[in-house]
Amino acid sequence: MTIGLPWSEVLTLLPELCLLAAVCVALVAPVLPPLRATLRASHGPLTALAAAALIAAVLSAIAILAGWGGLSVPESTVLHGMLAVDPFALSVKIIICLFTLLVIVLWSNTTRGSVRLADGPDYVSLVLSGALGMCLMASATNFLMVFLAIEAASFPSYALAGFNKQTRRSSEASLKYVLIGAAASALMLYGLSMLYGYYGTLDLVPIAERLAAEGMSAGLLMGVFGLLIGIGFKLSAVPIHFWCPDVFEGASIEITTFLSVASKAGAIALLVRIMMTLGHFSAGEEASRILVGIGSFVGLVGVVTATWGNLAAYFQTNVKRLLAYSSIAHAGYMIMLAGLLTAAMDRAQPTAVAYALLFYLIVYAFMNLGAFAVAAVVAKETGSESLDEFAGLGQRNAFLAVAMGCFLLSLFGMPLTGGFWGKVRFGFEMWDEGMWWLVVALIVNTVFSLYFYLKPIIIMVWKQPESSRALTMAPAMYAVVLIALLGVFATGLAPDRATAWAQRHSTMVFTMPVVEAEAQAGLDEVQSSAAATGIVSEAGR
Amino acid sequence: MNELFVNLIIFLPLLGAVGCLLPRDNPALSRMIAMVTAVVVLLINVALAWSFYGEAGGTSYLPSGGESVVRYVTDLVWIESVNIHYLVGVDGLSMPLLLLTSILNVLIIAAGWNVEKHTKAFMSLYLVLMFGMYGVFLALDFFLFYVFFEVSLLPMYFLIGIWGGPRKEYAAIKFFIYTLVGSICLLMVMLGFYFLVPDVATGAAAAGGKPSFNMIALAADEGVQQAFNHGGQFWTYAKWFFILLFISFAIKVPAVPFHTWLPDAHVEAPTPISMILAGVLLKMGGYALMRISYPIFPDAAKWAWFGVAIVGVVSIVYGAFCAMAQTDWKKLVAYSSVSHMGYVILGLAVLTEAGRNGAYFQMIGHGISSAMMFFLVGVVYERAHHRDLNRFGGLWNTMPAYTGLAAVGFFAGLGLPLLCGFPGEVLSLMGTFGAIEWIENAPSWVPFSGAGSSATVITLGVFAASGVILTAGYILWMFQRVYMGPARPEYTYSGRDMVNGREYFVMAVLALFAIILGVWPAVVLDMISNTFNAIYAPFSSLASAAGF
Repeated sequence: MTIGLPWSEVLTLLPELCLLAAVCVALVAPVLPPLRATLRASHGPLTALAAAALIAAVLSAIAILAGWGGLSVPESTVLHGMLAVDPFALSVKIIICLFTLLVIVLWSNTTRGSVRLADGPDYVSLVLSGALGMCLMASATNFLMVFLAIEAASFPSYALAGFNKQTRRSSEASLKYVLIGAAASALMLYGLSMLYGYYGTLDLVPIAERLAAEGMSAGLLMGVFGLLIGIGFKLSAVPIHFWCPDVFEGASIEITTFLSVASKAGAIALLVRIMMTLGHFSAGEEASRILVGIGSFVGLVGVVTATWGNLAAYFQTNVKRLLAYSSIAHAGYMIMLAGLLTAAMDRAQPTAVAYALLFYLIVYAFMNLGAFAVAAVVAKETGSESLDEFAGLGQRNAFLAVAMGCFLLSLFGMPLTGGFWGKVRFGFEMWDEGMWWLVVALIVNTVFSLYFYLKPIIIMVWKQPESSRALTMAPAMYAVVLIALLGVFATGLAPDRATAWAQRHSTMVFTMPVVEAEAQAGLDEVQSSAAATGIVSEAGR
Repeated sequence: MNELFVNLIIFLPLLGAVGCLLPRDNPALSRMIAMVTAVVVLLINVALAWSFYGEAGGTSYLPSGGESVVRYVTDLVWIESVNIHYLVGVDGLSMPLLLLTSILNVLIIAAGWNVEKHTKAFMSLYLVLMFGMYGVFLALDFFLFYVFFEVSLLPMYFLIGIWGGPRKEYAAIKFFIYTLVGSICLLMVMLGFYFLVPDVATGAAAAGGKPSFNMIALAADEGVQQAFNHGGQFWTYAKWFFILLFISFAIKVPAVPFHTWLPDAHVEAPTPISMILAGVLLKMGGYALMRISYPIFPDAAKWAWFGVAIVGVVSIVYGAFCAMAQTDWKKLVAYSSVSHMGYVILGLAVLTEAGRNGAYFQMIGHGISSAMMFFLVGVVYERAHHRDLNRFGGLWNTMPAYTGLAAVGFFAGLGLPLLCGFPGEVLSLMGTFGAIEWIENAPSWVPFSGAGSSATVITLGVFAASGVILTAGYILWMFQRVYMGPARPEYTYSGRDMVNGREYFVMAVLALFAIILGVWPAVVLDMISNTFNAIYAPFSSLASAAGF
């Protein structure tokens, strides 16, 4: 095997390269004397740099998808099977980068003052390299790459969680994060070494094929276990979720926002890719039995995670902790659906599941961004992150209160908001696969979650505020909240556009060449058996 | 033109709600905007009813091209991927309820004229509630119906929770959680529709093999009926769906044992909100049973007749006893609602034409009488600042004109002949006794069928009829305690405290309708008969056997 760099393949990594370039500039610029003074004067240039890099990354991802300027989506994995640049990965990258861009806007309008000017370059380079790692997670197809991507996303996150060096909470959160992260990494690495020892490769595809041919093995079991620990850590799945509330509380609010969506988007994309590949290359009874087992296990982890998140949220008095548990619950819903992927294999509609997840990610990004943005404004204006600060928000700033209400109800899953369609899509897919217990778990969890999503609303409307001073906010923050609000209602009132986009971009590199033939076969099969079995598949429609 | 009217009825209130929010620090203007909106919608409704009453025949709108009784249909594709339509239209089932709602809306905004706390928000939320109510009565797509059902929930939560009495937060959250559980039952049925409907109905109902939520087409399509009757040997899908829908709507009605949110909500809610809650929101449950449960699942309805009838009878009797035990005046009226809505359930359960007509008429009649009763209580409560029945007395002497109107309102609730409470109850009871015939001849899978079933039906009927006496008992006893006896100085009002013209207007209009509906019930029954014949065709053989 010759190691070389085929330029056409490198170009498909343009989004990552944009981020990398910006990280380098941010690191080198402060030591160059002419720039040093400028950077010490304000955060402005660095904010602009980060924004430019993120916009460039989004544009290049769109360019690859649309085939602009000679770019195109590669037909197979790139860089010796290390990465897959397929519509699914690219759209997750677009979501991550756009979201990070909004987080930067959020930062520059609320908490930027707490970052010392001398630390500005470090901060920006950490955020961007975190986003870089998350983008890589969406693409990785080799377990070595998986490990590297997870670490590349984690290390900046550890530092960012503790960036507020003056506060004890922040440092404590960071330390907790590092320790749990290190343990999870070690376990994952151990599992991966087992996989390598057993199969002699770390490529996803050969392992999936060997699994189909040889069936169950101790190495596979250990490997999958280690992998799930590693990914579960990023997704804050129970029982390795303990870092999440503390880190979310300790970290500065824009970092919490960043971790709650971008980091989870990358991790869920990775989980979906692994599950889908395992299922796609496996055939035969033995293999499908194993896969259904893995899928059910993952689904169970999702159920436990969602239930835990929803129940623990009841007692929270800090808005960031509340939203942290809410994000644990939502990660749980997504894990539940990821579990369907291997269970869905013999029904020939995994892309429908992937597309439901992609749609959910879009909605989830909007509603979490909105909720955190409102929380950031309130925290900035009142100087405290306690839920009590929301008292009387309806009188102090009606727009913020109404917007927050909409975001919380969307997180709960109220009709007419995007969150409703996200959950309904999940319900459709689960029912379609015959996973009744997941549907029941989803519904029961939704009912559980009502109370704590209503709690801030109750406080906003009914509690008398200590001061009745009107809350003001920067115009850019209005823009962020409005964007989130529009997103929530656009996906809620007219979900067709977003679902169509998600559907178009749910294909992966392994399923791409076969997906059309398979979908056609699935369609024929379904149509012929419609009268007998009575299910018209998503693909069929 | 009429199609435009139908859409205006739904969306004008929403426009009004935005309008109410715009003027700064001007509660009077918000009130005016709300009132103007309500009056315009009332006029549109009257115009619609005028042409509805005058025209015969319907507009063809079924995907299969069949005729139906629904008119003034707007059918737009809303969400293509799951084939959800914005489908609204009017038929006999919705027209009287629309009229009732629009009349009550005007009166309730008048009743809420003296709300001083956050007037802007109050009027705005009330208009959003209006949007939800009209939407529920006009939607013909199951999903659209569900959305409006939810939309009416949120403003109600805030209206009780912000403007309510001392325990308003508890009452509001209890209302919210109960209704939400009902919504989730609805959602489960919707999931079922999504998967079952395209299954068998390849042609007619589900155009192009897509799932359909079109409620009229679902009821009319044979393939859909077959699909629903699949599943287990005994537990067919239809039975599961019927039960889930029944729970959902019984919470809204409310029927015993799902009624406990109602007394709390009523006691804490401000007067106008109690009026709309009893007058219209409870009817959404009964309307939904008539629109969805019975036409779409006729076999399950026959199977469930006994269970549903028991729920109805228990609601009537238990509600009446509870009302009798209250010393809180408003709670008494609230429990009387549980009892009265029991006739709606019973009338539907027995599957006779008289029963159905009675159930429907009872909804309209109770809409008028309960709204009036709550207003009557509210008028006194605003002056006396308590509702303890045992501390009242002699109002007849101190407030004679008010008491005259109160007599009309409470006797309408009592079910006195020639007032609006009477025809509904009596038709519903007649329908119950009339059910003997079909139940005796029904196949064996219908519970309590066959020879000797008459004893069961008669027992049910007798218990239900005893509700009439119990009602007379608690209403007369209440009337005696509050209005009769020697005049008391603490309830003597003069000057600004006198009952004012606005209040007389609300009471007089309600009293007028109570009398009109009592003397001329045909005005409602004529409007619904065509629709009932069409959408209850699966039961028509039963009805003719019953002789009504």
